[in-house]
Amino acid sequence: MEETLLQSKELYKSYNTGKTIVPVINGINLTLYKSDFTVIMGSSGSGKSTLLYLLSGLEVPSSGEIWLEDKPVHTLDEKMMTLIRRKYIGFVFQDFNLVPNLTFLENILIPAYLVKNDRQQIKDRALDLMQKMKIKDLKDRLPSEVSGGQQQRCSMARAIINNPDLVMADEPTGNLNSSSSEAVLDILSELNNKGQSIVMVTHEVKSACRANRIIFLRDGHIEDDLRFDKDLKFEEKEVQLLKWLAGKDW
Amino acid sequence: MKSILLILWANIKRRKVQTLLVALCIALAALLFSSLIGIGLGMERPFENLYAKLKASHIVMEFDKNIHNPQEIKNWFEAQEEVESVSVPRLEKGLRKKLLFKGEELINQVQFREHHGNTQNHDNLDIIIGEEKEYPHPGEIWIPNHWRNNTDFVLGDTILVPTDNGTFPLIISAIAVDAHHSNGLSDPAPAWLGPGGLAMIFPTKDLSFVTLGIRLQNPNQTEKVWARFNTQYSYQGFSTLYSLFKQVFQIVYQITGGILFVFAIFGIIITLIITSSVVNSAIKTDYKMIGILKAQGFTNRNIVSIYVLQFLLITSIAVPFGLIGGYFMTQMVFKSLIAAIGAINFEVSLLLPSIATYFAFLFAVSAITAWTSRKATQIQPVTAIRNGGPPQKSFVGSRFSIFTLRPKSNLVVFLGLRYLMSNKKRSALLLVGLLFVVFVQTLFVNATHSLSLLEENRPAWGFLDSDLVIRQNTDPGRIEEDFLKEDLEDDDRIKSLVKTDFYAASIPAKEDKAPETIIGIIFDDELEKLGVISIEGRHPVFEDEISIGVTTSKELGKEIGDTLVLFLEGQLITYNITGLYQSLGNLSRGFYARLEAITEVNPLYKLRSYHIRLAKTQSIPAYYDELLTNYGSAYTIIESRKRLGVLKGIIKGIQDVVNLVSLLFLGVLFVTVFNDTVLSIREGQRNLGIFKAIGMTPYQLQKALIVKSVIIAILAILIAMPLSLYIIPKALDTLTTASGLVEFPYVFNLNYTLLVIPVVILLTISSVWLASKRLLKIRPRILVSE
Ligand SMILES: Nc1ncnc2c1ncn2[C@@H]1O[C@H](COP(=O)(O)OP(=O)(O)OP(=O)(O)O)[C@@H](O)[C@H]1O
Ligand SMILES: [Mg+2]
Repeated sequence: MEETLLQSKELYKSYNTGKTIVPVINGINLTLYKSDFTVIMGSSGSGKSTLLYLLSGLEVPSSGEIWLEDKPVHTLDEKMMTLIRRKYIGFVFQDFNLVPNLTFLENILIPAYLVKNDRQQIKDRALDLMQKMKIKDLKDRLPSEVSGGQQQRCSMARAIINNPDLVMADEPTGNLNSSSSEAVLDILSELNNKGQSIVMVTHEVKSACRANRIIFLRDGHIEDDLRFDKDLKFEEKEVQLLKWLAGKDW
Repeated sequence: MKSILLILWANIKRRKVQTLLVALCIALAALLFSSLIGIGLGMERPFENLYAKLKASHIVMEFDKNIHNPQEIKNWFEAQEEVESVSVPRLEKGLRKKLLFKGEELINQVQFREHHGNTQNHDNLDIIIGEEKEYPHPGEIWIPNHWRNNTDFVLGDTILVPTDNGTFPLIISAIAVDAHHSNGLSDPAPAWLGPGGLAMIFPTKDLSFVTLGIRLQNPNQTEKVWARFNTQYSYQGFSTLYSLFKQVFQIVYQITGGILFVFAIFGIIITLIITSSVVNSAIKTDYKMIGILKAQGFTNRNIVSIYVLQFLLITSIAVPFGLIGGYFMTQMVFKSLIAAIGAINFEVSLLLPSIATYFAFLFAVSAITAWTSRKATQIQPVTAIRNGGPPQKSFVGSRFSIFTLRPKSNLVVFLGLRYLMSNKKRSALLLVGLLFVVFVQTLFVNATHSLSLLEENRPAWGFLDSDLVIRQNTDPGRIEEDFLKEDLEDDDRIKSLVKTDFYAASIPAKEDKAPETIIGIIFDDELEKLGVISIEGRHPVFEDEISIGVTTSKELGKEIGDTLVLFLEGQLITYNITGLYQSLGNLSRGFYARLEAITEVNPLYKLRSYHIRLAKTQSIPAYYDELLTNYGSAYTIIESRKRLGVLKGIIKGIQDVVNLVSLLFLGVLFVTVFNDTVLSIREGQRNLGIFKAIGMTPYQLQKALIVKSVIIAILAILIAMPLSLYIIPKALDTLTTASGLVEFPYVFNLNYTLLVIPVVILLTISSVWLASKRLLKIRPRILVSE
């Protein structure tokens, strides 16, 4: 039996654009399990990013519940929410979102320093992570002085520096060329192999095949939920996924 | 053009708070600026207006009609071509004893003068409260407005006049202003009775003094006419000329106007700083947009004109609001000044200052915007679009370790410092703004403190530092036998006793200069016993020595070591000048001389006033009561401190104005910091979103912003305070030199000065806190994806 990590119940979100109310998430019941690599797919505007932001607490739901293990995230105020996010969730954005006037190393260190820890040890860990992601030489560079792939690897190091229970990535390869994309995805896969739970939004079938579970979103609700067999090879996954997607018209 | 307007409109709409703030800052500066000009104009004109309106005399003569024939003098002046009119001779009488009101003695030195009515069309009175009549009816008195600074009078109140035959009641039937003594600074100042009014109170033998006023076509001719008169007459009375009246009137204006001037300049500088930093920031946040616009074919000129037009629009709307504020500010200042100086002729047109302010601001803001937005022209489209902002600068390897993130660093402080360093120019501008505010507040507390110490610090202001004055009720020349001296000398409760008196000498005529009355103080002991100090040199010790006021020194061109020839007791006597002193009481005019200097020439001369300093343990009021019981019938007894009442009333008027401006500057501080915080948030919007997303609480971000502004505030305090301690005394000296105070009696108060620190810091914190409150509400997603 898999352990539940994050659960949403009857989750709704709509935006008020002044004139009209736009419903974006329409009653999502979703359970994410520990050590899973879950991919969320769906056409543009189907609400993938919104769902991710909701689950991470960056956005407040209009109604519904979100439980992180036994913590009712939807009841927390912003400060409590922030404290939870610090510890349990790491976030990777499509456009990196590194702080432009902090160096690579500082960008990674800041979230770790927010959590009370042995700071020297943290620094060693950060350098260690940078080593693994092959950006250690860039530690004193500013984000504007490096390539997109390097920035994204830095932002991944930032996301996992606090050993979060869950890493969320919103199209992490969307702005990268194919070789940079591969490097980033390799890191995610490797993390997952070591037991890291991951949720990722992507458009690409190839990237999605890194996962063991695919959720398909349409107009703000879950249309389908696919789970790969454990010992499926990559190519077999790709075939199964393409077939699965074929009927979904996207 | 259309596209420029479209972008301009979008800019204004997108940044409502910021636009409002810029508008507010500009309005505030316009307020200060127009008030400055308004008061500046008012400073010159009320006196001229009052003079013209009341047909006031340019030469006022006061003399004994037994010595000079008033009609003959009147005829002589009427024959001069420069003279417009000569008043009728009017009886006047200086009162030896204080007037009584509701059982209390009035503090004012009073001279009764008969007023012959405004139909004379010469030396008219302006009735402020009361029925417009020709002149006071028998049994009535018109009192000057400045009396109300210290006492609340209403029409119908009774004033008692002490005479040798008991007290004589007079009913107040009007409150009036004359052109010569409107602020009460000149001593004694007149109150008015009708023709024949004096004879009802005093025996006619005591009524020999008359006043004669001469009005000229042009005030500039005063000296010339007066000099001509003195070549033909050996005049033995008193005289006061236009320039002195004007100077006395201007004192309050010069000090207040000086302070307002300094403040307004500061205010304008701060506004310029705010405006330029707002423009700067607008360009910074529009970096990417400017890049895109350029890529689409906008020229540099197009881009500059977007910003110039945008700020012109804001300015042209904001300035009128500031002008309305400035109007009320000017009115408030005028009201405070009216209370202090008694003049009511403030019909200064504010139209001109308003128009001047309007165009000055349009010009200044356009110039600054054009200058600042040159930056936009340096933006390279490609880098702008790719980076989304100007290239960042690395802090790694910075010499200052606090700027790099270390295991020991406090995160909030680190971020605060990063905020500070990431836009150094704006931080510097905020620093400059706060420097001025700290300076003004330090000036404010210490100037206020110094003014409040007028009584305690009398020697520095040039007043005799005695506790009581007891004075024989006789006219000069008719000294009665004096028994008081022995009594007082035997009294061991008295610490020091110095006899003094006023003495009117004259400076002999020179080529084109008329003889001039000079009033001195004669004393019989060491002046140091009364705390009298000199600015340079020392006070006279021998009979041939004299010390003179700094104004007199300047006017006569005499220094220490020079000799001064005075005409007194019918002879020309030469004195050596040994010292210079200052005194607010007589605008540092006059002299100090020893009793022997006069008795040498006139052995019968006697001094009438005793200045008493009691031993520390003695109660002044108790001793006053005792003197009153024992000597009250033949002597006037005054508590020395109460003599400063008139001056204190005037100082209160100045203080009100300064309070107002100081408060305004705290407002400026608030707006400056608020503006800077809003700009920081705008520019760092995306970063704030990222920080939130990676787990910083809004509270921590607020703290980082507070740390940044507080660091700047502390820097401002560290720089401005020591600097202001050095500059302020000098600045005050300059401000009061025209009033005869070459060394302003500045008293530094450490506690009040230190109090400025928490006020500035708390205000800074609350301003940042309020400006960043919105941070709490903004969802990180909005910030990140902005
Ligand atoms: N602040 C907002 N106000 C109004 N509508 C919004 C807002 N944010 C998102 N939306 C709408 O919600 C819908 C879902 O947006 P979301 O960003 O979640 O889509 P997505 O599935 O991530 O799309 P993409 O694949 O293009 O990233 C879209 O139609 C979008 O227009
Ligand atoms: Mg999306």
